[in-house]
Amino acid sequence: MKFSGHCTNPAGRRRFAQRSAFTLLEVIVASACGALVLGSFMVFLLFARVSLSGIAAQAMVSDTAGRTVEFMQSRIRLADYISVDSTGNTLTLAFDDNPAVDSDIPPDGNPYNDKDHYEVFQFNGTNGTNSATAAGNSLTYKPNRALPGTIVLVSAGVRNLPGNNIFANPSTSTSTVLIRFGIVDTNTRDRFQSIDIQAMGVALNINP
Amino acid sequence: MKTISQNKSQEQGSATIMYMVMMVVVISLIAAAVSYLSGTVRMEHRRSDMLNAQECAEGGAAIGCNDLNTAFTATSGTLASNLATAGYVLNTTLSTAQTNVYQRTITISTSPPSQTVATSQPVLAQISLPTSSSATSSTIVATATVNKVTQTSTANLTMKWGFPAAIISTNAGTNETGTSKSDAQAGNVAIAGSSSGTVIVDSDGGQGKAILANGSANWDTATVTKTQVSAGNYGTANQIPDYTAQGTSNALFDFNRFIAAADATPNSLSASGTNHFTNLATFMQANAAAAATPAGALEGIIVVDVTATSSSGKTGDVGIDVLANPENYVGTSYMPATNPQIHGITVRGTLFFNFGPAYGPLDKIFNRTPMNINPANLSGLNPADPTTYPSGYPPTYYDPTKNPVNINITSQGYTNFAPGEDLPALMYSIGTVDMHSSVNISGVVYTPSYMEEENMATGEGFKIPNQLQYIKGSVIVGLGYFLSNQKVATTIVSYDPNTLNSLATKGGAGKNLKVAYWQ
Repeated sequence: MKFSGHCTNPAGRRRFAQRSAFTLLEVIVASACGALVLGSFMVFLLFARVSLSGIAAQAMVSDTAGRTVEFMQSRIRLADYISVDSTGNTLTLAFDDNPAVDSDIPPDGNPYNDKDHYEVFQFNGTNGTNSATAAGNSLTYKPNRALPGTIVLVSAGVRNLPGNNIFANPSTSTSTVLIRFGIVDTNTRDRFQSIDIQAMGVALNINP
Repeated sequence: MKTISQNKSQEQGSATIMYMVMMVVVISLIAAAVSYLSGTVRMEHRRSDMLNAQECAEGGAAIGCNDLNTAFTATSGTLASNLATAGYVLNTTLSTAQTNVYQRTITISTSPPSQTVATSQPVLAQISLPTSSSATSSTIVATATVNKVTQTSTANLTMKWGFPAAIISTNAGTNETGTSKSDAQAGNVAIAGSSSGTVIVDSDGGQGKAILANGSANWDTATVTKTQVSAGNYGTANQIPDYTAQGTSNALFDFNRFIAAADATPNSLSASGTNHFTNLATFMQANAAAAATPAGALEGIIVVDVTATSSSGKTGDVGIDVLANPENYVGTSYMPATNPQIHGITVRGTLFFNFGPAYGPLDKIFNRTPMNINPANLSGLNPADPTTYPSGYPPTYYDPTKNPVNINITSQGYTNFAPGEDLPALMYSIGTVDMHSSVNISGVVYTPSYMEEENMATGEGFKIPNQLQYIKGSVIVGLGYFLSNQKVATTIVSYDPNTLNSLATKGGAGKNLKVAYWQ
């Protein structure tokens, strides 16, 4: 395809008028090329979107899992009591709000090991490793068991790791908690991005 | 068919616009991705900084704990000088009359697995120490700043007695396996019970050991749980420092500090006008007089000089005979007017027998007078049930002017005793107070010398049936301990951590650091 320049000569303008039109074949080829370019671009956009979505989802679940575990570890570190329920879905921690006061009843003579308030990490939903059923599973944190108010740490996609509870107390220790869970991005179009994470929380304020 | 282009420049403009739109879309996508990526990276970087700062702060606090422990348990120098040696300086801005703050910048070398070159991270460690002479707690705050993120870790420490046991014997001793007096005098712990009576050494439900000895520890017909005995520790990693070596920095107590307190404590019942008695006779008279007062006892830190070796003659001290044969002095000024067989010697606070140079470790004075120091209410005591073992510690003073915490000894060059400090109940220097009569003592019983406690019940003195010798606290001896009960009687030595956790030792001797809790 050739684009001609502008002609000011009348004779030349006539010649130009004769030569300046596109043939049908040219139009069809041009349209096909344009459609191909546009189609390719759309396909590129589509795959780019999926790819970006997958990258973003993977980054998000990885980041969420990391932050969640770090937060749990930071709270476990300062707890003076740890309890995991029989299902392994609930982790309860106790804290001494005033190390100068022995609030135990009766007082045990130790002012810094009291259980003044409890914090709860809770898995909500259906236990299992199935990514499809994980969509409705969440992980929440209650800063004070006695008060209303819950913070959602992971809003959806929490699942068990094969053969493990979310929380577990090693039998040899009362001051450690094993944390194992996975987060799956339930958006099927970006090919199920997921992360499995395992960590140990150690309570410095529980004497072995 | 021919198509005629009417405006070529418009066609060119449309293509350019289309191209621009496509470029804008692509650039927007790239910009969004870059923006998201940079935001994520920035957040991850900050999170990484926070974790690094947190870990460095905790590491700094742990190093601070170790520095303080090293300074605290050193056998030379003061705590302040030892901290200075470790690089700590006093922060005069943060220090107050109650607390000294020492600080040091610690450089922590960090080398993550992904890095081959270690990086240095400065951490500021601040140690807060009470200014009292026998601090029982301390706080270490470590602060680390990584890039723009600052994290702090706080370790709260307790400084407590590090050798929890009912009986503590620091002498190297021997490998004896017997329970005779001579075995004990060789520097060991020898406990001789019999089927007639009861001897119990109790660890307070496992709170401590029953016996902790560098030498051997042997017992016969006595209730001593074998798993609660740690003996033969001399030359091992578990060796107890010789906290009974007088004149060294390891000496558990500064005797002169106690003497200074007694000198400064007013006592109208004493010939000297203070709690310092220069012989046993005047002490026994003051003790008898005190029994008739509303207080019912001598109070405060009582020091009795025992220099005479005889009860008669020009240089003799009749008090030696009063102590040994109290039944002969009933009705005199040496014995309480009522129930002398119960009241005997009664003290609230500390009784210190200060032997003179004429006495050697095995030279003894006999004590057949009932000995009540911070006496516990024994009405509910059931020897078979350790949970019923009562304590009379800490003492409640009838006369607060005799409470050691109210006695100023700074003018004599000593630090005043502080509230909360644990003071020993009975102490004696080189010599032996051989206790044969009833005993009711709550608190630490200490001597760098040899100790004998023989329950003679109906055999001697006031001939008390089913006599009870009861110590609730800890017995700390330097040259062996002989505990005997061959009579129809009961002897109990029971550990009580509350009597010595904050013991007013010399320079913190015998204590160690423990992290109580983290914040």
